[in-house]
Amino acid sequence: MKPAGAALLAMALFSTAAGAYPSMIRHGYTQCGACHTDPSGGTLLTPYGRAQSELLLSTRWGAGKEDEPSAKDDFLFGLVPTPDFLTLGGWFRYGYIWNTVGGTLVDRRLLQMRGDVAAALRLGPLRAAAQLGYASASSAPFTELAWVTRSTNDANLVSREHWIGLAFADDTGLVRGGRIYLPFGLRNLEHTSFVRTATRTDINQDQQDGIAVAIAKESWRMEVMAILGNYSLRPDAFRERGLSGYLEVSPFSRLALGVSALVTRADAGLGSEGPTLRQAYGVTARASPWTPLVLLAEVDALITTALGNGGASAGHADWLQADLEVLRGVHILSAVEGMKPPGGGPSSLGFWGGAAWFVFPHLDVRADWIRRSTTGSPATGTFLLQLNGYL
Amino acid sequence: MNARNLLASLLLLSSMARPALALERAGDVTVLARGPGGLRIEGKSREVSLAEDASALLFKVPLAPIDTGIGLRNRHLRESLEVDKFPDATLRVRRSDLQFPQDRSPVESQVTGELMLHGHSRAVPVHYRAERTAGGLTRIAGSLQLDMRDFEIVPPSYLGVSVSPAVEVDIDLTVDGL
Repeated sequence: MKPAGAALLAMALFSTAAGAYPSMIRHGYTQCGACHTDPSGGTLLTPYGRAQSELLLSTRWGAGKEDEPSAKDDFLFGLVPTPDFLTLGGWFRYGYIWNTVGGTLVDRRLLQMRGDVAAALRLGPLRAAAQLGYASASSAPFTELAWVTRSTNDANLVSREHWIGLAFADDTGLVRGGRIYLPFGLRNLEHTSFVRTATRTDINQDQQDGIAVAIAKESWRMEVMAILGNYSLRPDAFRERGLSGYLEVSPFSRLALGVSALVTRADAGLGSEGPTLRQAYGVTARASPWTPLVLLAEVDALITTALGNGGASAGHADWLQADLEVLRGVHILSAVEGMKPPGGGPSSLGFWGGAAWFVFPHLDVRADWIRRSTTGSPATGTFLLQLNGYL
Repeated sequence: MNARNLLASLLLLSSMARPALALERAGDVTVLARGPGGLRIEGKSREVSLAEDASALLFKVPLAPIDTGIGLRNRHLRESLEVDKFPDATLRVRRSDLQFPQDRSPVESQVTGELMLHGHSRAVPVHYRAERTAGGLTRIAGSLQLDMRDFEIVPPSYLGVSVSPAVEVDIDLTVDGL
């Protein structure tokens, strides 16, 4: 692999995105909808979610355990009051990355990783949410699945989600249509982990257009989505259509076990020239045996079938992460992951180590070191520093 | 009355005047409230006591120590319950309505108790299970459901997330004798 290619690949593989915290199960939050406008989590924070961000995630800088969150936690530090029916927010994220291949530094650069604003409406049973963001020209390979504009040489507008829906059953259910985060697996923010890239269910650009129904009850939650295709992707032959969904049960307040499935068909599968059926079936676990420690696991079986010639191939992707909160707001993160792609490609093994500090509700910093080895290729290493801002 | 008889009489009177006999060895209380979207709010305390007199068992739960896992939420709970004015919840169950376990014969039944909470008293159905354990101890597991509005408690609401007025309470208590 050429160094420049390796650098681009690493840049694609090792960026992260703030916003999804399945580790909140450490505080007994097995569900997502109280804190996020998306019932399956990972998106814009509700006012309640903003409060939890200060009360549970961030360093509190001397504030008492029973103190109310600061008004500065609100949108734009509280300078722009918003009515109850409207939720506003946004993200900016910058990073600096160093990549090595076979122990040799091949790339280092500043990354503009995210610049999105978001809004959500809540009028009676009506729910709607949308994001609109800026993607630099250099990030094109990693944002084009969410493009609104289609410049091949300059920056583009991106929209990771935009949907409208109706809540039902006392807000425990939501039916919606539009561009939606795919309901599958852990909605972990390490969107470059093998489990996210292999299943194409990351929170960076893998959203799809479709219709979804989500239900969240006290001890279980589910979402199933009819995928009608990613309409940011052209031509139509590449668009996948099918179903995706998960069911997660919580027998205890700090344990959640789930299953996921995704079945899609495209006339021209990515990486192939003919109609392709893509399947993924996963099991997930989230557990917090001790409040400072959260374990997250996902194991996915991957099956890709080239339709017409009967060729099916199988693989897998796996993820096991430990998140240890050593001080309030300071997390030590480590993970091991594996992947064998369908189609007979070489197996890969990855190790993640790092730390994240939620400095205050509008800002966190994170450092990741990732080492990946693939059979027959030199090992790659990445060190990534990130600054995540939240409006 | 000589001094000896006076002392005996005083001891007898003090024994009769004792309002209740504390029995508990260990206990847990879990209070479960629910919010929108499957939100589950669990409050826990280890402070629960059981006393008995001639006619009833009296369970008492101090409300201030109930811990929901979030300091501010604890404060909101205490404010909602006006703990400064009404520090305890008590449940009084008549002995005559209860079945008591024997060795190797646990009992499980339902009884109506009188719950005093937030300065209001209401009759509530209580499901319970009691069994004798080693060392002459008795383990009691009881559960009840209540509606906050029956006790003039305004269901807490915070930043658009309102708690449902229906609340479940579970008590697990190990006591001497019974």
